[in-house]
Amino acid sequence: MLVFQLVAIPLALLLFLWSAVRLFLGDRPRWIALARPLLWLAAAVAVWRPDLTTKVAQLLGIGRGADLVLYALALAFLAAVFYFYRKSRQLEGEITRLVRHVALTTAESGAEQAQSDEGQTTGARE
Amino acid sequence: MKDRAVPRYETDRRTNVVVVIAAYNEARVIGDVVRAVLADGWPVVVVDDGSVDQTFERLAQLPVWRLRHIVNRGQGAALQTGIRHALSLGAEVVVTFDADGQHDPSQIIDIVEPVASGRCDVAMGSRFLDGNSQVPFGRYLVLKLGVLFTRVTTGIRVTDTHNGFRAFSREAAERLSIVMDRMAHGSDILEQVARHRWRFCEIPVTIKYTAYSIAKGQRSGNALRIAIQVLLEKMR
Repeated sequence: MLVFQLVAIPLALLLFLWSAVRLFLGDRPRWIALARPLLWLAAAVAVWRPDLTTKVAQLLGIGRGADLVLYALALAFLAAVFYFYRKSRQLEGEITRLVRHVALTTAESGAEQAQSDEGQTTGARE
Repeated sequence: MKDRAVPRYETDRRTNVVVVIAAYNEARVIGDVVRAVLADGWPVVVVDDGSVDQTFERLAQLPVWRLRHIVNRGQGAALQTGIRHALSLGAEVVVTFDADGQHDPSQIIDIVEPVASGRCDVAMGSRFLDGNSQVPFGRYLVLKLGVLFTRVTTGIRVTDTHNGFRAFSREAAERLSIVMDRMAHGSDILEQVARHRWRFCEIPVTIKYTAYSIAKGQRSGNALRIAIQVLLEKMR
């Protein structure tokens, strides 16, 4: 067994166990949450038996398992970037709406008497 | 003072105009800028965009509406807040005006007029229509690239982009929804002009380039960031 395998497999298995335990500790396990422990398990298997990923790769017309993993990672990375960009824009918009709400509800007119002097501002009332 | 407080068209058109100013760390100049606008008789709404200096406090003694973003959200967001407040005050025409003293309050009437008279829904200031603005060459180049970029992304022909001096009719202001919180709001607004098919016109305005306004204004390098933001927004 390679040194890398000695380190990576136990680590991946630990993470698998930890995320699986957390899944069942949660009061309402969701199906989608299964993805996390399954991913760690798949990672452990892939490190343990690289030839398995090669088999899958060859099914898809890709030469090596490592290439398959690389391509999948590249795609996942791009998807994650777009996803988080979207999320962060959404969050920014929500913060702005909150800040705007506070600003509008706490609007104050300086020097009321001067405003009535001007007689310009319509509906200038508190 | 009282006489000046009534703009010319007011007597026959009964148009209510509100000038919206978004200010971020402008304590040094905000008082003078606001006083100059008030002196011409325009009601003013100032949105302090989470300044960390005394901008908000400087407004306390002035007869203006002052609103405060508790955290900085960017000029686009602040303008949207101010426009919303102006509408709640019953404004028929909403003007946006820069806080750094770049714009000339005596030209507010020029930019209001086409909107108040119904000639267009949105009037936008352009510093390139008369020869009065001494635009630094670097800024000239960047702005003209912006004009080209706008033409490509929105199909709108303008001579100036990202000029903060604008006037909106009530109908346009009500539908306006600036989602680009930060500096890209200029492109955002133009995009909405295109999308809603608002009638727009460009009005010659003079931009005063002072050492202060150049230091406070946008760095030319921001232009690229704005372009990237606009493109990213389209991909969203």
